[in-house]
Amino acid sequence: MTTAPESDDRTVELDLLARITKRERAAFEELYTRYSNILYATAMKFLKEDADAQDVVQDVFIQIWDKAKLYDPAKGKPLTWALTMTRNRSIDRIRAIQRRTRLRDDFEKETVADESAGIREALSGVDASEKTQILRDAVARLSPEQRKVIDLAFFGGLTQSEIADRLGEPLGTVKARARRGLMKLKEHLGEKP
Amino acid sequence: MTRDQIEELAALDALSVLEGEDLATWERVRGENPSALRLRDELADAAAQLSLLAPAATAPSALRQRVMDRVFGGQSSEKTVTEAARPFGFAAWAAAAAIVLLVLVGASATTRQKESVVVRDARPDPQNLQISLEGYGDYAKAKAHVLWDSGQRGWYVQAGGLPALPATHSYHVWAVDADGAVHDCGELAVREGGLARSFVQPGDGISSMQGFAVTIEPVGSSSPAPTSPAVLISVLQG
Repeated sequence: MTTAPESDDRTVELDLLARITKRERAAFEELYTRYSNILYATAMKFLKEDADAQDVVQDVFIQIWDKAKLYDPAKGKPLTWALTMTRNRSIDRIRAIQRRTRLRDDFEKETVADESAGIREALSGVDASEKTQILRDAVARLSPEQRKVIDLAFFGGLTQSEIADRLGEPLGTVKARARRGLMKLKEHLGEKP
Repeated sequence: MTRDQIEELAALDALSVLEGEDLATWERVRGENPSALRLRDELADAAAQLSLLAPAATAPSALRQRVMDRVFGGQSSEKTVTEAARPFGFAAWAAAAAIVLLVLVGASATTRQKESVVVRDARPDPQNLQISLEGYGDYAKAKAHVLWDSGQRGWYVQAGGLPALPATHSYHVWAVDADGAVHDCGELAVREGGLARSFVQPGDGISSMQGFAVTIEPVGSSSPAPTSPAVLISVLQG
């Protein structure tokens, strides 16, 4: 299981970002050391291909170097910011591939297997840090239907209508499950120190 | 708009799944309602933590140097992993069949194999090039597609129906350029169910690509050309 910097490291990471805005190379290198594995693991989770994952991680770090001054602490932790960039870029890449290839139907079986395995596989992990255990507990409290929708949305990179098509459920049902599931996740994670 | 509706749009945006009319509605709501935007950020923060459930992986050591070079200047600053290959001229696809067939099926292929070549795709759209590969002989049920990604400057190879190979051999992708020269595109690893996917870049020496093929090669082989007949091949009607 991926090891993330502990939450009490936030102050250190905020300081690193502040120093990066002043173009301090040492700060950037330290942030790379802290984040590279988890960002790479995240990109690999989405893209499955090493070359694609490396490109995404490279882009994210360049973005951090160029845009550190735009980071707003009020919008989340530095790690969350970096993870969100990684996910968004990974999904952009997946969607670009899908648009160009139009081969989803041919490989639907494979794709469905990969996507549905996302949270389920993660929940079965045994080597959890305290942080990931808390997260697992929170995810485990979601209903299977909510978990499925969030899994397809977060790890599958599908749009809301694509999720509805994939699950054979009305769009309104999918949207409601996404809302309730994510609100529940936020509540449970918020309960923890 | 009710609280539930705002929560729903915020959650969907946090998951990056909004589209169409809902997206337009959300753009308006979040502009008028700072608390909606705050909620969206909180939900995005919760969602982003799902990334921590990704299986552990260690970033390749070479990536660090590449990132540092890119940020602080260096030899590799101009390229990403998937940026290296040049695009091919789409008009050149018209000549692909004969070259690919001769080079990759060549003398070792049977007449029956040559006659069974099927044209699947040769669309003259440089933004969306896609070509199908057909399987032959024992591999007749296999199929593959090669797709040009202009954004990433390379080719995606996706294959299905590939039989498992003994540990001593692996599937290998080859590209053929305008001069008929064969370029090694690397191994095509087969996953469960005979499915395989790879991103390939034959290298900087290619000015235009003409076709692709898949052969079976000994593991670890450094042969610059195929050592066996193609089991999958892309061809055009001749």
